[in-house]
Amino acid sequence: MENEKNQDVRMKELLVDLMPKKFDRQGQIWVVFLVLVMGLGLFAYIRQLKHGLIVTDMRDYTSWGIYISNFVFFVAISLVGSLVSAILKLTNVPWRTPLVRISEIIAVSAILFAAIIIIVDMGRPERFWHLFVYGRIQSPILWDVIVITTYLTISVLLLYIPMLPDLAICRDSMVGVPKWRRKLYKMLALNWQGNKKQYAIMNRSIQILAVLIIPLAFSIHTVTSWLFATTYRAGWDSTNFGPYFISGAFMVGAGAVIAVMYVLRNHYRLEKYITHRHFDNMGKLLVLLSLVYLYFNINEYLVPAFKMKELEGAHLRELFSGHYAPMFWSVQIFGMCVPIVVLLFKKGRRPLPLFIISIMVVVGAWFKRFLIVTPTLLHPFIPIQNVPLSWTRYFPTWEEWAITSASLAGALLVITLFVRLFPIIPIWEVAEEQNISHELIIKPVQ
Amino acid sequence: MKKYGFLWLKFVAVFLVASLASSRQGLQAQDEPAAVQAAIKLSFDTEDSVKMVTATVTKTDAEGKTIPAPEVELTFYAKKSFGLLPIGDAQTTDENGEAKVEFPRSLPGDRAGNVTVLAKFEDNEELGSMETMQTVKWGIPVQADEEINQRALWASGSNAPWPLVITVSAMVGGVWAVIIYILVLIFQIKKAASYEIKKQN
Repeated sequence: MENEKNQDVRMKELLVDLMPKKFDRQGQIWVVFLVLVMGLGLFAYIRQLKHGLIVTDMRDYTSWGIYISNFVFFVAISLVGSLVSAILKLTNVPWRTPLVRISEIIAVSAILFAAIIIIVDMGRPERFWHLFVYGRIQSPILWDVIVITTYLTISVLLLYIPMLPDLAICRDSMVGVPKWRRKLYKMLALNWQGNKKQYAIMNRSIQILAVLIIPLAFSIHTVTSWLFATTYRAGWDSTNFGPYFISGAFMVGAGAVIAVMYVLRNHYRLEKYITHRHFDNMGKLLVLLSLVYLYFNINEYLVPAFKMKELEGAHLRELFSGHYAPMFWSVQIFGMCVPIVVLLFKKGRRPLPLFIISIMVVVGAWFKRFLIVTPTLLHPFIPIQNVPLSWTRYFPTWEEWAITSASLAGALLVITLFVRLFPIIPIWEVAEEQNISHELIIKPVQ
Repeated sequence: MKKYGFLWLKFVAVFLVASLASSRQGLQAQDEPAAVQAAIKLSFDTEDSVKMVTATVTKTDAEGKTIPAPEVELTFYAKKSFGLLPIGDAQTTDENGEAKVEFPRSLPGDRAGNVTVLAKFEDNEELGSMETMQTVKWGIPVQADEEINQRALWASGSNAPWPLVITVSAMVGGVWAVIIYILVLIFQIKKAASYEIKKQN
C-alpha cells in the first residue's frame, strides 16, 4: 500500500489531466461551426413549419425520407451506451473505464435527437400529443415512443449517477469558474461526500440500471426495426430485421465511440488514459460486431436474392445493379467489408487507421439506413395511375439536408458542451483503479 | 360647351339603341317554347327468375305533354359506401323511353338486402343531365363484419386484445417502477451525506 502522500500526488495529477478545460481556438471554431449549422437547420425548419412538408422531396410514394433514415441512425448509435456501460461492465471488462462516459453521452445525445427528428418529420408537430391520446397500443409506433422515452430516461440516469463523485470533485476543486457553474455542480452533486453508504447506494443503482438497460436497448432497436418489418413491403417484410438492426446498431455505436475517443485523446492529450490498448480492444470489438452484422446482411440479402420473388426481386435489382447500386456497394464494401479486413490486422487497430475505419463505419451506417428506408417506398404495391414523375424518385431538398445536418450538429454540440463542463473520463474510477483511497478522491471539508 | 353637348347626344343615342336591342331579345325569348322537362322512373321486375331494372325516361313536348324520350343513353349504378358501382354497360332507351339492365345476382346489399339503384344520364343534347335512385330489396343480405368491433390487433385502440394490453402495461409499468426506485435511491444518496456541504461555497 502506497503512502498517502504519493496517492495525493497522483490524485492531483489526475485532476490536472482530467478536469474539464476551456475551449482553445480550435474548440471555439468547432462550436461556432456547429451553431451555424444548427442555425441554418432552424431556418430551414421554420420554412418547413410555414409551408409544410411540401418543402421536402417527400411525396405520396416516398413518405419517409432522410429524416426517418436519420432517426434510425440515431437510435442505432444510441445502443452503444448499453454496450459499454452495461454489457462490458457486467462482463467485468477492465479496460472499459475511460470509455464509459464517452459512450453514455453519445447515447444520450443520439437518443435525444432521435426523438427530436421524429417530431421534425411530422407535418403537424403541434399534434404530437395525439399520439398519446389517440395512440393504439397495437401499433409499433406507439411502442417506439414508449421505449425511446424510457431508454432516454435510463440513459440519462446511467450517465448521471456514476458522475456523482466527479461532480463533487468539480464542486470542491474547481476554482475561478463562474458562479452558475459552481451552483450547477453543487446542485448536481447531491451532497456527495464519498462516504461508504453513498458509494454503496450508487453502485447498487448502477448495477440495477446496467441490467435494466440491456433488454431495453434490445427493445428500442427491435421495435424500430418492427416499424418496417411489420409492414408487408418488399425489402422490409423480413423476420431477420430485429437482430439485423441490433447488430448494425452495436457496430455503428462502437465506431462512434472510437471516433470520439480518438478526437478527445488527441485534443486533450489523454494518451495516458486512452491508450493503444483501448484502441486495439475497441478494434477487436468492432471487427467482431462487423462480422456479426455481415452474417445478418448475408441473411437479409442473399436469401431473398436466391428466390427473387417478383416485388422483392425488383427491389433487390434496384440495389444490386439499379439506381441505388453505387450507394449500396459503397456502403457494403467501405462501411463493412474493408473495416473487417483492416481490423483483423493489429496494425489496422492502431489509433489513426482505426479512427479512419470508424469514420467509414459511421458514414456507411448513415447511408445504410437511407438504403433501408427509401428504395422500398419507391416500389408501391398499388402503383397510382398517371403518377407525377416527381413521386417516383426521391432526392432530399436543401431544407432536408439542412435540418438533418443540424440534428447531427446538435448531437455533436451536446457532446462538445458536455466535455466542456464535465470530466469525460471518470476521475474517481481511474483513481480507484490506481488504488487511491476514497478519502483522497473527495476530501472532507476542513 | 359645344363639345360636351355633342358627347351627351352620342351617349343618349347609344343608350336608346342598346335598350331597343335588349327589348327585342326579350320578345324573342318569350316566343321560344318552354324548356323540356325530363324525368326518369325506375321499376323492378322479375322475368323468368331474372331480376330486371327498367328505367323509363320521359320528357315534355312543345305543348307540355309528357312523352317517352327515346335514344337517351343512360347508365345504371348501385350506390355503395364510397362511390357508384356500375351495373352492366350503358343502355339506350327504346321508342318507349325504356332501358333495361339485368340486376346481378351476386350484388351485396345491407343487412336486410337493400340496394339503392341509381340511373342517370349526363350531357344529353336535349335533356341535359339527370339521375334518380330507388331502393330495392334485391341484394344479398350482408352481416356487418363484427370483427372490427372485437378485441383484435387490427381493431381500434380501445379494442386492443387483453393479452397485449396486459403484457405491454406490465412491461412498461415494471420498468418505470424500477426507474422510480432508482430516483428514490438518488434521494437517499443525498440524505446519506454526513456533513453540510454548504460551508464550502
